[in-house]
Amino acid sequence: MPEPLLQIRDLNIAFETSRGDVRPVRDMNLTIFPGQTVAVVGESGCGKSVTAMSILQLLPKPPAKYLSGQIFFQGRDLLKESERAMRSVRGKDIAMIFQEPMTSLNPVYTIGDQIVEAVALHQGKSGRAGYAVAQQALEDVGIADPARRLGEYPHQMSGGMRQRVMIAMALSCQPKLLIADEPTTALDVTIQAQILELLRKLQKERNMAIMLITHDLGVVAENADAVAVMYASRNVETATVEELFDHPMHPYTEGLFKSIPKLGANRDRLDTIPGTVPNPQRFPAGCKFHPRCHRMQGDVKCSTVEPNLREVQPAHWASCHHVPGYESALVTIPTISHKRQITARVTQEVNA
Amino acid sequence: MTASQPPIAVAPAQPGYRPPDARGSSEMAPRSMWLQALRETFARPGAQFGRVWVVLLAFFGVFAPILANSYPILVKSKAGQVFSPMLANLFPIDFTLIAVFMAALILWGTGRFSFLKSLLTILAIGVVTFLIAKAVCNPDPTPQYDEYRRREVAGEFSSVIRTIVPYSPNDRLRDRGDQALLPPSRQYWLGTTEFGEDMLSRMLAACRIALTIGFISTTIATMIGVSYGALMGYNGGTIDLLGMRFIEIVEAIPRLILLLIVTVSFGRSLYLMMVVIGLVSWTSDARFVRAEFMKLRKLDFVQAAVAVGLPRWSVLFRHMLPNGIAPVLVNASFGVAGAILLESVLSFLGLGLGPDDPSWGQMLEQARKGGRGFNWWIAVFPGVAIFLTVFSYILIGEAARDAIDPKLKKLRD
Amino acid sequence: MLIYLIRRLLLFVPTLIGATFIVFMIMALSPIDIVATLLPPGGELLPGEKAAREEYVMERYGLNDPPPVQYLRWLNNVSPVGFRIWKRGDREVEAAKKQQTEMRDAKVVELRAAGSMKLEEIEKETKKIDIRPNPGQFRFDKPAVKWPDLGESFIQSRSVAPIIGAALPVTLTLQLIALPFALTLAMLSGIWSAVHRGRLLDIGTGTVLLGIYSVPVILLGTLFIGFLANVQYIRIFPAAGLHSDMAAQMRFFPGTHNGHWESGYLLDWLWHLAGPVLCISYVTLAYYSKLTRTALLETLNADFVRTARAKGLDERVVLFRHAFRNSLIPLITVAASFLPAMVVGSIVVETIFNINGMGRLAIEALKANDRELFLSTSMLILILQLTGFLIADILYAVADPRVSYDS
Repeated sequence: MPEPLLQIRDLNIAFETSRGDVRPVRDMNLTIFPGQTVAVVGESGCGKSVTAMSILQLLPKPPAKYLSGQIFFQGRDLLKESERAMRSVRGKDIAMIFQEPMTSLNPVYTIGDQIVEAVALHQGKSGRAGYAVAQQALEDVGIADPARRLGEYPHQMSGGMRQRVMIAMALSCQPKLLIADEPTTALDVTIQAQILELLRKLQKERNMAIMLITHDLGVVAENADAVAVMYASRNVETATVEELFDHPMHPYTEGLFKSIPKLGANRDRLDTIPGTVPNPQRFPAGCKFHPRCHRMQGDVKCSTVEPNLREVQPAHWASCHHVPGYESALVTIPTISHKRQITARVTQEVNA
Repeated sequence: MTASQPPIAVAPAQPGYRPPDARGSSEMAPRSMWLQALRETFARPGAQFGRVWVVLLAFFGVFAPILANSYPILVKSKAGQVFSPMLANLFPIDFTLIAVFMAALILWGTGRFSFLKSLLTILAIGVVTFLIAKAVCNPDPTPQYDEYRRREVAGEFSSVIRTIVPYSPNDRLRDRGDQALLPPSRQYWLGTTEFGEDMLSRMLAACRIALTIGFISTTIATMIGVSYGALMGYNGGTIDLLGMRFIEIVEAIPRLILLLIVTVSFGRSLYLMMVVIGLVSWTSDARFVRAEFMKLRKLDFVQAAVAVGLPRWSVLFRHMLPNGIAPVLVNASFGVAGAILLESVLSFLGLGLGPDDPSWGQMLEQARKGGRGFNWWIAVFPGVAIFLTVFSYILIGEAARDAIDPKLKKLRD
Repeated sequence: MLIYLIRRLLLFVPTLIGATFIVFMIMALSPIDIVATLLPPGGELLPGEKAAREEYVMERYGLNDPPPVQYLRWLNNVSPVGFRIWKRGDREVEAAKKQQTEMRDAKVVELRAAGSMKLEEIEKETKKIDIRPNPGQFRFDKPAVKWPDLGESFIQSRSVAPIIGAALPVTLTLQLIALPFALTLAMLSGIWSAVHRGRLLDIGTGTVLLGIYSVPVILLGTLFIGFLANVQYIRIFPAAGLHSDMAAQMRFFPGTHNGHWESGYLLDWLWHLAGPVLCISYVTLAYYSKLTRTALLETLNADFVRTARAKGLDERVVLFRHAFRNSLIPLITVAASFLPAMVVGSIVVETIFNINGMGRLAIEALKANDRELFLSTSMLILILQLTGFLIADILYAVADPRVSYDS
């Protein structure tokens, strides 16, 4: 097995609020290998964005507190690095793109200026050399007439084009890992497909790893190699994409799949997961999903003991007392180096 | 599926709370929203301080003639007669203010009665008191301030009970010789003015004038501004264009200059000043309301009201206005502060009210003019009074803005 | 953007005309008789002076003309573009006057013969005979570009223009020193408090700033002079004016001359400026500091700041190049609008500190019923105001590339 690129180990983060501490990330474990796409799936508020931001330590220090855990990138624990060292990681080794291309670009500078800013910082090229790199970056992401676009302002471009610019900016310094926080959520469906295809192409060209944060299972099906499902600030299931789609084990994951409409299925109503996501300030005791779970059936263990992530099957981790094989499974660190082979089959399954 | 109870408590239904409908929470019951905003405004420490001072100021202003009067409260003559010179010389407005103040304190202070009904009751009490007082009162048109002092010295009375501050604001204490420009002492707690009047009694009387000017001019400004802005914002087009041009013309003239010109051209008068300050201060309200109405105009509930056939004034003032008026109310607090400052500057420049109407700005003018050196008590006390008053209204305004704004953002988006 | 700016420039003149019209009309509609306004307050004039003033006003405004026409005549005189007016020595005017005098005399005889009227009534009747052209009326066939004629001041008995010429630079200098001083200090303190947000020092600062803002300038100025410029207490600062009596004879820089220390013109001037500049600028400082803080805090939460950090930029670069640059947009608009407010504020400060600027001039003119001086002074103040607003608009359009005002 090759060396993992990024390893998040037992990460615990707390936010100080006026009403006490909230834990947006608890016991988070995740591994990403070079060239791999790992999807982190979950509803809004489950902690996926906070996890991503914490890799680059972009969380404001008050109110965020790193309680425990490590984030290893190429062997170094990023949480122990100084701010100065982190600045040379950001944009250069690890890059991040965000959900809202509309507001993520500075409105008063041209996009050329903004890309060159990153290039000048990490590659030392400014002026004409810098702009040449920027122009090439725009070309790589498929923007036509890149020379002219360099002088334009963000408000002169469409949403899809702005997201391409963000990608160009992020990739201009050849990072090894790209964190994409819901990159297509704010875009039209057709543009969505284009952007994702662009990401796939660039990934293949540069052997770049992608941490793809999304709530859309369709996107996961088309792009991910491995998937981590988050619920209530925790990783509740991790598997390869094929395995997850074939055999979801955690009741939350099951519920997610059941609620996707399928063509040809003869149903009047969609299945929903009853209840609502718990308030992080008032998590229930035991398993955080148990109030909504149909497997629970009054089991006291579910309401008192929180299950942890165990390898119930080879390369498939789940945290639920009622998953077959849970009792005897071992608590190991989820590490999947798998890369997707058969795209077509999985896509078919999802749409069937 | 089990019947397990969700472990998370659900917020209990609050009285007066109607959950927002699908369109957006701009339809929330307006009255409870205002009460909520009011409560949140005064939850802040700044606004609490402000409220304390303003109530104190109102108290001083309302009760000034009872707190500071050259006429004794109670006099018992040697012959055994008991009468009250002070009460005999109060003006109808004094009684009215006291009645209104007490009524307001009872009705609003206990918070048990509806705002509007209390307001009407208070106004009614005010009008009735004024009419009765007008019929009954017979104050001395030319007050003889030293009369009772002389008679007391002459031994006519067996006992005399005086007000806390036994001097009237316009009493120049001539019977005591030259009492001008005395520093604070036990006899005159805050010193005396250039003409020999007691500072403390003038300060108390000035409270009334300051608050009156503040409220009335701000009310005038708000009424003009809101109507003007509503019509502009609702109609748009040419009316809006022309209206904005007129606003720009009015804003081009500095308020102070306009005020000065009017005072010089038309004479000095308390009422004129209140009206004119109102006439120069309405443009910011107009801008606010115009902006709000331009936003509201496009919302569904307004178009529905128009489609149903409601007359324009009804749409404007009963439907759109309650939703768009929040920034105006915040601005009103700042407006009162500005009006008080404006009047004080005017008096300071020597073009304000006459010497009979005590005003803090006028006292500062006296201090500046000097005479026998710098008389700090004539500057410090009125100046600090202005400062505290302006500060209080600004704190209240800022607290209101904090309380209302995020709420607005939540409601509107 | 250019179209927008041209439009704003074109609006400058009509707005100025509208504003001066209102000012003029309020004065003209005063119930006090216009002739009475020519008198100094509480004083009498020698009979020759009164007649001279009446004639002056008659010529420039026309006492019998309705106020709007009087305004137009004033506007014509004051504007650099207008019509020539009939002068007293012109041939047609002389002829008209002669004819008028003849007719009036004839009328007087006629009415005296009728015998029923009193002297004043007869005078009024004859005055109604008015043969045009009168001196001061428009010559509509002669439009011209000319020097603005600002009139004559009554209290100083000389032309208004040089009076204003002496006072205007004083006020402008005061403003141009106070404004940058206040804004720079305010921006720095605002940025500082935004960066150190939440810490103990910051929470109190907000309220303190509001408190500073609430201090009335009349109090501050009076206390400053009363305590800090007073022999009775501490005498650090000078009490009045912008220069000491000996200033004209001083050299520019400080130095030792003839055995004793001389502070020099420059230092003396700065020393005199301290009080006035403080009093003019403290309100702006407090308000603007708070504004900067709020604007910066809002921007610091923006998405593009997050992007900038994610690129690996140094925090200072993020703060100034990204966050602050965006906060500038609202800040600039407000900054330029302070100039007009400070011009008005300087009215009070100049009065307190006895500085011979435009503000004090306006007040004195108003108090002395010197109509010409006051009108010209307030017109200039209006021009300063409108220029301030115009600059604000321009700066706003320059600062924000998203702005397109062509709609």
